Amino acid sequence: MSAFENDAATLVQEAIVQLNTTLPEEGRISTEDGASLAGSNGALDSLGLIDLIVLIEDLAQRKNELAISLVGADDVAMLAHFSNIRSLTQYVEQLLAAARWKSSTDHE
Amino acid sequence: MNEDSIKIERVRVKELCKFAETHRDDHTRGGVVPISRLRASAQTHNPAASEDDLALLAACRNGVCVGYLGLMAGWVRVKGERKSMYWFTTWYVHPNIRQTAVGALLMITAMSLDRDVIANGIAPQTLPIYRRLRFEAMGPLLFERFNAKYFDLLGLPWLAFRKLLSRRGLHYKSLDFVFRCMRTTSLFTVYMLLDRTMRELETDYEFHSCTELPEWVGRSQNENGFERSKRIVSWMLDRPWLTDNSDQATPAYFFSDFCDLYQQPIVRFRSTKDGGSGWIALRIARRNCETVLKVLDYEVPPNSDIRPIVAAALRWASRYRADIIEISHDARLCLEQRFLLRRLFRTQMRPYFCHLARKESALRGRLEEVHLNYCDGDTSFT
Repeated sequence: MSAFENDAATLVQEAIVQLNTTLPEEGRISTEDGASLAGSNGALDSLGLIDLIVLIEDLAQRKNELAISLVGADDVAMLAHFSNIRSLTQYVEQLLAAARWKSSTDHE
Repeated sequence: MNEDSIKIERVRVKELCKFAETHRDDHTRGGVVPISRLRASAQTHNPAASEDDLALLAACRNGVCVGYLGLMAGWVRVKGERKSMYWFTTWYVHPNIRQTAVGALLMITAMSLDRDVIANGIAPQTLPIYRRLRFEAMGPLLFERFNAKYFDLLGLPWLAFRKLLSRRGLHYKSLDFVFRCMRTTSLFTVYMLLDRTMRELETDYEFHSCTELPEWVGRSQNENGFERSKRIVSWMLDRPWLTDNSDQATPAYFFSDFCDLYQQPIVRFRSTKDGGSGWIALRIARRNCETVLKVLDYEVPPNSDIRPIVAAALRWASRYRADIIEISHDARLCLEQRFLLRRLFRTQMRPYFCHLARKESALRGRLEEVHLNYCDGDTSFT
């Protein structure tokens, strides 16, 4: 796993752990890659999904000093990013990479 | 993809009527009706919308709509320059699937659009969602409201008695009848007491009803605010979302569009002192035995006060024995100067939340400059 992939996976896992502390025991999300998040078989309701998004964005800012937005892109496939942990991690990885590239070009 | 997976469809203005027709029976298939026929028809004629603008985000499973988020194209003026944006109009998910985050997915889709989106008329239970998603607060809009139930000295005891009985599982239709009689008597008394005030407000003005807006509507628009030109106001009056004709209503739609009574009078007035003229558009709707009068749009002559607007609102409210009157906060000074009105009307707040699509949005850094109007968004339609 590359450093970028590791960062994204760490962010998502840590956000889920933090989110789980606010959820009742029976409503907590598994941290396995294939665990469903949103959609027909998802584990999260609307508030839960929004909380998870905000946690990931906040963690990216605090730990990686990168500003990312999980809800910014006009991408028809965007909703698929939230279907399970694996897809969300891949999405966050793309956003982190884009943010790093933008940050490096801003400094040049 | 799983057959049962939920997809978010983006319905454009040009497709809206057909979409409404296709999904009008979704409530019989475990889903929800996404939009009423009246709304679909009205949106199709929105002067602020192109045919490719979005009008609805619909979450569908196996071809059945299970949730939706309504959008309405609008214009906002910033330093006189007009920009397109979307209003949120509806946001609803079938109760059986609210655990699937469909509501959030609809909202996320709306936030990803390449246009600023603004919500007003927000349901209290959704406020945490807007705050968590970091929508920026605007306003709030202030407006004045009269609610008869706070002055229903005759009906309140009966209402309390009825509630006491209902807690014990008892319900008597005769009590409902008594309660309505008491409420009607209270309202009659209130408007009788207001008659002198109304006549005082009407002094030096002549009023007459008309069917068309004057040519000069929109002359006093604010440089920073949401467009209220003649085209927009005419559209609002010509294409209502409510009806008292049951043949036009869509009964299965969650945001009910049927009223026992629905009127949209336009009143023009003229000062007998200096000849200055103005107009006011009102909306009167009665549902579930409650009559609501709203002052929609209006214009007063330059350098004139709002007295004729308050006068017209009260006169029409009296005519229909309105239980609730809502009027712009501009009327507050006029209300404060009159003993009875000062006590009958209370200032209310309506929050606005805005998501700016881009860093270079024309509204960025200017939200506080935007003049808010009671008729913003879909307020005048609902």
